[in-house]
Amino acid sequence: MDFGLLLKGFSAILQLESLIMVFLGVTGGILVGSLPGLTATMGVALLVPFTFGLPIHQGMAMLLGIFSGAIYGGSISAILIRTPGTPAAAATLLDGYPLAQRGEAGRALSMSVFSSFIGGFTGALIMTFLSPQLSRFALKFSAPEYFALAIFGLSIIISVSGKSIYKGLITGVFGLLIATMGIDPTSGYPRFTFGMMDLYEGPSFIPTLIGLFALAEVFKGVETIYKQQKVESKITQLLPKLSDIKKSWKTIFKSSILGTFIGSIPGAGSDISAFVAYSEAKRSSKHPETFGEGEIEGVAAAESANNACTGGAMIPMLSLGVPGDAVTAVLLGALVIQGLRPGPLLYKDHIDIVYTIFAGMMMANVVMFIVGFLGIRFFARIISINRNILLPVIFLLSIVGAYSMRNSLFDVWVAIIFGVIGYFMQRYEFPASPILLALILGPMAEGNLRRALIVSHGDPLILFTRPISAILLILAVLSIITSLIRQIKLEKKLAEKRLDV
Amino acid sequence: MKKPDIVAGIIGILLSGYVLWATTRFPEDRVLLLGPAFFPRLLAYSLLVFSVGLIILALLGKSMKTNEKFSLKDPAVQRAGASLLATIVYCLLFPYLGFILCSIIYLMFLMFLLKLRNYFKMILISTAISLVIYGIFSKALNITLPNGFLG
Repeated sequence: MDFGLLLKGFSAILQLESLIMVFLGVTGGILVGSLPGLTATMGVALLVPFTFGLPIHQGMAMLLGIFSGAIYGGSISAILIRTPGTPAAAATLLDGYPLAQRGEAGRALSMSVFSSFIGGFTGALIMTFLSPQLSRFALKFSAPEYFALAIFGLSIIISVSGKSIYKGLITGVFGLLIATMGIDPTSGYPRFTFGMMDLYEGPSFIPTLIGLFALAEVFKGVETIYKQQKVESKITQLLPKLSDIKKSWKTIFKSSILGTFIGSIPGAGSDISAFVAYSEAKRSSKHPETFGEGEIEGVAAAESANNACTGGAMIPMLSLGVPGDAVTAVLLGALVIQGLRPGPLLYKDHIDIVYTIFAGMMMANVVMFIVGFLGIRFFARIISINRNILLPVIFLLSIVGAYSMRNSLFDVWVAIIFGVIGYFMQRYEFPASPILLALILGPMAEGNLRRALIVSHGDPLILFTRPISAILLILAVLSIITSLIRQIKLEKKLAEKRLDV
Repeated sequence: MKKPDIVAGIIGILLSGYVLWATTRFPEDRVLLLGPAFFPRLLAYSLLVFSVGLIILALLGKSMKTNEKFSLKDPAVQRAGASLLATIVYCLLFPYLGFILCSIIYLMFLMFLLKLRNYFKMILISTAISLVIYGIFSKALNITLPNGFLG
């Protein structure tokens, strides 16, 4: 870590324009995060087009704001209406909703924003210290290691596939095939372009994403437009009480560290870190029986961990170019559009920008805290917005977002086609996140596999005999096995529950 | 549900068949076989295996249960279809009518489809949102949105 560079980063972020962008990003992020039915992935995909026309520092400042805000935003609807705005907030509702039912929504929300801030800031700090080390190590990588890294990244397809791992594998391969569309970077030959110039770079990333995650979701939303839930809790408390902070500071601190490290493991996203931190808080508590009944420490644990996870997930994303989960994959795509290619070379060629990202991430959390506690009442009202107004607006934002990347109507058609594909996929439980990861990691896997094999004259042993590449491949296999075991355990538990019923 | 998995499996087989066929026309790397066709073929074969597996699992009755049937007669599905159609029409008219007018009509139609019947609210919100989005993108972000005949 270099303090001089970090100060420079802060001076770039602390300019008025950048601060405004962080503020707008955080507010937008909290909004989309808190709206039930909009996942953080979808929200970030919808908001990314707003950063296209901006200079790089401002665009990034906004992106980081969106990212931090969206993860925090999920807790608002989790606490108020028992619907996690994002999967990351699922652990928050366990204690948040009972608190709201007791009329202590303000207490839960203020603790949520406070612990999110501490968690997020800790994550950003750890990222600032650790990711340069990791990137220095990764500079020694060559083709076989990068291929192994891509495979390791792809192995998390299993863990983002939810309950249908087999179908996740199929959509992953489908995504890898889509990623081969366009000019082959190794030979320059256009593949699967059907003679269309617009497809020479393959289907554009953001339009594809908007189709799969936003349009597909609104088609589904139009179909199943459901009843509104009224928010009844009055919010009287904006800042957490000192007694609550005193009670939970140990939990917050522990969960923040835990959340960052879990977040830095590709495949373990903010939802997992929130649950792990929650159960750790419950296990080490003197009164575990109060958890689930409206224990403020439960909210603190889940929220500090899931926001700490954002910093953690940025570590492999920035220094290796491998996203930790679906939201970071979108963020990675957005950085590429801004002209930055995350990976060890980013630290070599654009170290100033890397430190601006570090500073931006810390600022994003500070702004999130301010916007979060000032805006609690406003956000609480917004989540009960009518869906018959919300859905049309998302439709329009999706189209404009897809169009704005290259000013091209072709991209809007891409979004619509993927919207239809995504609609049927989710209808028949084919998860969409694997496609997202495949689109990012596919070109990395293909290019490096071919390069490695050319070096070894076609001998695939090169992938297994080099130590780092072998370790990464073993890690990939381990990650697949552990996810499979977790899945089997989960199914058993569910089956037992069904039997009990 | 067996049927969707079988259909998906068939689509997968057809897709991998297409890829295998299309890659025969790619230039070949005769020495190491690592030309542009190498990776797509590798993927096509994996997709083929997975798709056949999906069909076999479905035939063995091991596919997961999906919630509802897809029927074009279902009014909810028709509603989703109408929103898709509206989106397609929007894209076709977008270059001619311009962003603002097109968006207002599009938003009003979607709100009507979603059973909003307060027409005043509908017009007000559609116009306001279209203007705000236009303002943000074309003025603040310098992204040109077509003006159509209004421009």
